[in-house]
Amino acid sequence: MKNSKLALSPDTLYHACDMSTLKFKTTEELEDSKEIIGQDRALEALDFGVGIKDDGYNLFVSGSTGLGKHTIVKHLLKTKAADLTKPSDWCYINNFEHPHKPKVLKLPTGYGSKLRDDMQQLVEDLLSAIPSAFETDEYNAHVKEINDELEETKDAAFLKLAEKSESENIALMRTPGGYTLGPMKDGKVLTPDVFEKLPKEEQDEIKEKIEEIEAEVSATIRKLPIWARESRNKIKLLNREVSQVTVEQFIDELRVNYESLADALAYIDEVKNGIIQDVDAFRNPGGDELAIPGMMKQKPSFTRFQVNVLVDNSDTEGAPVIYEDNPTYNNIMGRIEHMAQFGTLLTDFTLIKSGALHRANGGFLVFDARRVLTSPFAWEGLKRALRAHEVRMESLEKMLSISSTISLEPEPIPINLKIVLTGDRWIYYLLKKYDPEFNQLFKVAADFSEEIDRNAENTFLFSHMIASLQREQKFKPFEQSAVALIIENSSRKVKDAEKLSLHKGDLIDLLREADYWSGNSGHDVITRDDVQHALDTRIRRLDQLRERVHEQVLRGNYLLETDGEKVAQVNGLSVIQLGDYAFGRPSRITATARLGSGKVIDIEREVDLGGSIHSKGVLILSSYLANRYAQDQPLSLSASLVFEQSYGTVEGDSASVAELCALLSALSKLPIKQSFAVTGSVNQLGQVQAIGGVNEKIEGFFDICKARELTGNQAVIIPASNIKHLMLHKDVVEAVEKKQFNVYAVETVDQVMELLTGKKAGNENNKGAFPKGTINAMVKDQLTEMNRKRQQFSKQSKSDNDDEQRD
Amino acid sequence: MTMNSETEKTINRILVSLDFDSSSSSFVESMVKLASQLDAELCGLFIEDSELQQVANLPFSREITFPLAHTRELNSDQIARHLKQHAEAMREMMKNLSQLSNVACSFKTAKGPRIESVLSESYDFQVVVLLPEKYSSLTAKRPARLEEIINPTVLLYDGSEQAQKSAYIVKALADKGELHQLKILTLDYDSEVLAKQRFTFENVNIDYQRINAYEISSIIALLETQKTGLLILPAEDKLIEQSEQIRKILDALKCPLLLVR
Repeated sequence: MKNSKLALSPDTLYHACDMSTLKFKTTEELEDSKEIIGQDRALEALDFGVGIKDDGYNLFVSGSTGLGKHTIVKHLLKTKAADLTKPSDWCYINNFEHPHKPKVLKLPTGYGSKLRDDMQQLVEDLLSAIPSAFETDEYNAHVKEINDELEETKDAAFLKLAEKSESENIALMRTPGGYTLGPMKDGKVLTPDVFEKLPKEEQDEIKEKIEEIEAEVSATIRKLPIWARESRNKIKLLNREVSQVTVEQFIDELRVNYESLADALAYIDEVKNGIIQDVDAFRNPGGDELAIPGMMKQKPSFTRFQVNVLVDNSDTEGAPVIYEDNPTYNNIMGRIEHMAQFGTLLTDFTLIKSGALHRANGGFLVFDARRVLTSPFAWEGLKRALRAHEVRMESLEKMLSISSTISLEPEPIPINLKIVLTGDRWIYYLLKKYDPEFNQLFKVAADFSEEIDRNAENTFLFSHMIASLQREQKFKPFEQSAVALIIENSSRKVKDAEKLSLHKGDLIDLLREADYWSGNSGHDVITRDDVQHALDTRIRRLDQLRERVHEQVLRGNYLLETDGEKVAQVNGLSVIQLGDYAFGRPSRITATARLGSGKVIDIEREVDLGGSIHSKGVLILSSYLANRYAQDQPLSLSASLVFEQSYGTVEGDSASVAELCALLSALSKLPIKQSFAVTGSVNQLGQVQAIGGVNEKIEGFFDICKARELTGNQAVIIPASNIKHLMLHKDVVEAVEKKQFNVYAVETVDQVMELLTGKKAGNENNKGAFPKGTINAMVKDQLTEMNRKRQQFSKQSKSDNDDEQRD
Repeated sequence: MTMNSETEKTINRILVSLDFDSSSSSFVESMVKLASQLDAELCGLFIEDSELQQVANLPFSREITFPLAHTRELNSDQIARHLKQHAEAMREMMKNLSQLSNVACSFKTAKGPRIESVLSESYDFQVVVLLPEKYSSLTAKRPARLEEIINPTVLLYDGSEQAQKSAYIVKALADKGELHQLKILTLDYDSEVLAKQRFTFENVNIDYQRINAYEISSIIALLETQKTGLLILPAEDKLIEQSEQIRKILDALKCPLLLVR
């Protein structure tokens, strides 16, 4: 039976562009696209997210790769940022009290580098000014005066001691280790012999005197360090006064430049005190002369007076927009570097390096979500910073106790910025589900659309976008027909003739490849043939496996008939997806039916090769069977369904119509035309529902038929709801035009069965009976017969059992 | 400066008195430098003070240590050992420094009273250098660099042959740029005129002062209130007889004394 009502006309198989909407010869005539097509929802969200200043309103821009998210986000953020004020400069400076805790200094834009240069100049100036100040005659005279005073004090003390001892006839003498005292007579020291001869009283008197003077000498010697310290303190005070006068001259000049900046002035004062306290380093910048042999001479370091400009926004236009391509923990949070010195790793505040959070502070920071999440500790670090509104720099090595080198605890830097994460939708939903903090920190979702409606307006805008890309990428102009094919292919890409793909990446690739082939052909403009060639060669590069699969069919290794009739055997269609490329593969589906308890066995499922959706499809068709044919009797069959020669997993329910047809054929014993292939899913009511990959499936069966010879009887049955998705290859459309091939669109299983068997399906009357000789009547009769047999079998079994019991 | 050539190159040997207190390498280096500039041989004489040995032999003798001011027993063996160690260290130091400056050098030790010992050994030397002694030497910062030692130099110019030799020494120091300040003591107008003719250095401040007679008391009286770096005096042949005078000068002025014979 031929049902011409269900056969699709060639124009429904391929939704070509309405050329009246493309009013140009080449894209050169078109203006650049001024708006972003089809992303209104995402743009609104971005606008809102960027505009709202409150906490947690960071953005997650979702959408698959190639939609141009980054470009759009970057463009939008730069536009917004240009209207915002430049953020401050951030510097790390020495903490003179606790050097391991560097301080933060916030300065107006441009002042960071200025202060850094000024401090460098200050140190250079003082390195020449301070030694000069200490080389003056006035200073030397002061020092000499202090030293002379000390000498005089000491001399006077010892002179007094000497005079006293001489007056007592006691000699005060130097020894290699100190002083000694001895009895004297007439200016000469007494020998032991002479002393022994003295009267006992005189000896005792001498000893007593010596003891007394000894005590005084001891007391005087003890005073020497005190006098020396006093003298040193005087010199220190003098040094301080001299250096203070010198340093203040320079500092006062410096302060004038930072008059309105209290923090900078406070820092300058700290520097002043630091220099005065450490003035010896400036007096002797060459370092200690007594360097350890074989080692580098230690020179005084003046790094503590440097300014580490962590963020210099002097060249920034508006607020910063930073895209961190490699969002590791260190690249986000900043890092503290170390320097090897004599085998030891040392660091100081000048080795603190900024992270993306520092650089983007006051503006926008864009990350790829997947990269942040896959970089160890980066996500946690980012959230911690956003929660605390500050960047606290902690080295990973220290956090993980990997290294025990001296490290720093820099003062955290307060942050106020927008984070924009970009990533696939599934990442967004995973984070939403599993990370409670994500909900608090990323409250704005900007969801980029994958496709737009294919209407006249959007087709027009799309052609402008092609023109913009052509000029941007410096391609040759595209002819009107070439643009039409690109648009049509865009629909094919999204598997929907009524939609256009918004994947800019794919689009640019196609334009580029067409431009290449156009160049090879020596065209001045890119023609439709160039675009078609690009599409064909793209398929050619990818379709080796398709060829192998089809070859297996054509060589008879893979059993598939495209003419004749068979009971319980139908051609189903599946799609194999290989990355970006998909192709259809026809498969033989067979069914067997026998007496049983109403169970339909999905053999794929039994051996764990069937997915759950496929199993669901089989269960639905069982349910349909019971509902349609066994309302008044038990379903007394046992059936099995299988994808013949299928050695991989089968998933999806798009073969459920085909499976049902095979089963109905098995029950009714009506043969099925093998020149047909069927795709579609069925519900419990027997309605045929839309499936995916309809174009590839049709083309898959067509290719086999074409290879064997198109007879005009061959056809593919698809759900009617899939008509809008049809964007079939040119050769299929041409074959249909020539009536060599057909595509039928159906809504019910009955329609499918009628097409497959050439018989009427038959509608149920009000008594639940189908017209005699119809497909459904034959199915029902068979089920009734099976039920009768089953009852008979049950009675027989019961009777046998009773007999056995009686025996 | 202009000077009679017959008086030039008359300093062949210099004797420097050393003790445990003059062991600074800088001082020895300065003496080596002086010898080098005068192209003379240098002899170090390390004196082991006999009076110190005597005190150490007393049964109750004690030492007050520096800088801790502890008191401990003192005995002569200990003193002898220490002095020997010091002498050896100074011998080595002098030898090394002399070799570096290419100066002929010798070293000897002597026991006895310091000044007398030096003077008794000084007959073969044209120049004898003595340092101040006793208590002041412990605390007073002894000048070490030659430039510090000799500025200002005070020279007694009496027109004698020894004074001519002194002038030669001063010239050598001035020529090497070490001397910047010079005071010349004269006994009368004639010797001052003569001195003014002889001492015409460049870059040296020269000051003339007159004393009534070549008497130690006069010299001390004049210089006691002035700073003196190095005192150069012409010496009589029988120096040993002047030991008391020399001690007086050293104790009073606390500056190195250079006796020229």
